[in-house]
Amino acid sequence: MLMIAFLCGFIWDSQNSLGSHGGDPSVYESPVEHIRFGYSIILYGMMGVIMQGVQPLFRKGVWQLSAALTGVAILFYLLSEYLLINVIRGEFYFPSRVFYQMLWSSLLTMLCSPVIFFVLFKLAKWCQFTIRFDGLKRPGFRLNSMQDH
Amino acid sequence: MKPVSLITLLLFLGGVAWALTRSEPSVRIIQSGYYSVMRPFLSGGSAMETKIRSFDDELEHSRVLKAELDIAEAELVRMRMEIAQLKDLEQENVQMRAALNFQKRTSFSVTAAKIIRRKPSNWWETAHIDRGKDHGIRAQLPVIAAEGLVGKVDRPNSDSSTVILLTDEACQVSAKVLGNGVAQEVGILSGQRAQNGENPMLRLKYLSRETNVKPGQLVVSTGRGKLFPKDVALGTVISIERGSINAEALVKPAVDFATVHTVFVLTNPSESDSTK
Repeated sequence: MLMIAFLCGFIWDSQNSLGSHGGDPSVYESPVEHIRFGYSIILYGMMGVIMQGVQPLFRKGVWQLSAALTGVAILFYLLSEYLLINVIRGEFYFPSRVFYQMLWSSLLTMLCSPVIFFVLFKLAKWCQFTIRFDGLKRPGFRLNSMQDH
Repeated sequence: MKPVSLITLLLFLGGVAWALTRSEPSVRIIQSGYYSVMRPFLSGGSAMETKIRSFDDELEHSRVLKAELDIAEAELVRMRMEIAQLKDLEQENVQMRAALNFQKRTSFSVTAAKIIRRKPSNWWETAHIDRGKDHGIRAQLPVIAAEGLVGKVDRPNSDSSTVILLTDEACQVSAKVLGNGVAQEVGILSGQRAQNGENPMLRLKYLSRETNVKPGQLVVSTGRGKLFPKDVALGTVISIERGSINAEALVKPAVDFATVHTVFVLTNPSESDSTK
């Protein structure tokens, strides 16, 4: 999970990080600050921790909760990213359309996630992979493999 | 915690620390590597996006094409007459320059480019163009369209570049407000945070509190700051907001960022600026 979080954050920052403003500093006295390269890795790591929490249920084939949590995690990511921008650049500004934009992105992700999960299940079956997780040793979890579903 | 988990966590934290401590040149090298690897995928995606957009545009505009054609024909007649007048003026200008022994005016050196990808993320107003280092594009070069300033090159790759648009909060331009042909007020123009929709607005900051700027006045670049040439159209003042210390103007961009497809990168902005 941490490896995937690192990879996703690294790719995201590689794609989106902007350079310094440049120009004559006596004219452009207050250039806008940018978030440091690498911040997305931390945010993706936090999202991964959230998703990891429901891994036992995911293994049992309860993908619905994971799908809902995907939306929550994306909402958390976007909110954190936007708040970071506000903190770094100052002038707190949070119009309602920004919230709706986040909500819309999260809902779309949530709706698309079952397709990804389906592909993951198929891949796991093809590779004969089984999720290993210490939480599964706790009483109360039925150790059905996800291939059963 | 298992030793393997602990090692993985430490490796992750080490990776985060490494990434967060990269200097800007190092980040640029990483980004260059990333775009080299991802070029085939991004090019494929961009081509598909362009085709879909073209198809969508064709459908949308087919109904109004006839009306536009009529207007264009009338405009053509008018332009032909203007061209005839301008040729006379040009001839006169050449004669006057020769008489005054002016230096030969250096023409703009531009590279035409197509926008192949728009706004790939939520908060950053950027676009990708199909020209890069191979075509003489460098970072910080101004990007213009027929209507005015589009933005500046932020990250040139080998055969494509990322352009930070004027509508982004991070793209600042030293600007002045024109009124009756005389420069009245100077400020810094930039986009607004997290804009979306088809009508983004700009903010002209640091105007004097007693400014007499009025809605409808044109905003152009001053040429100061070594980034953008002077007198490039930026937008039109929509309204004024007076604060306790200074004033700000809300400006409608000269360029329609939703429909612009072809842009021009000024490859010698300082030279073109010096000739103004």
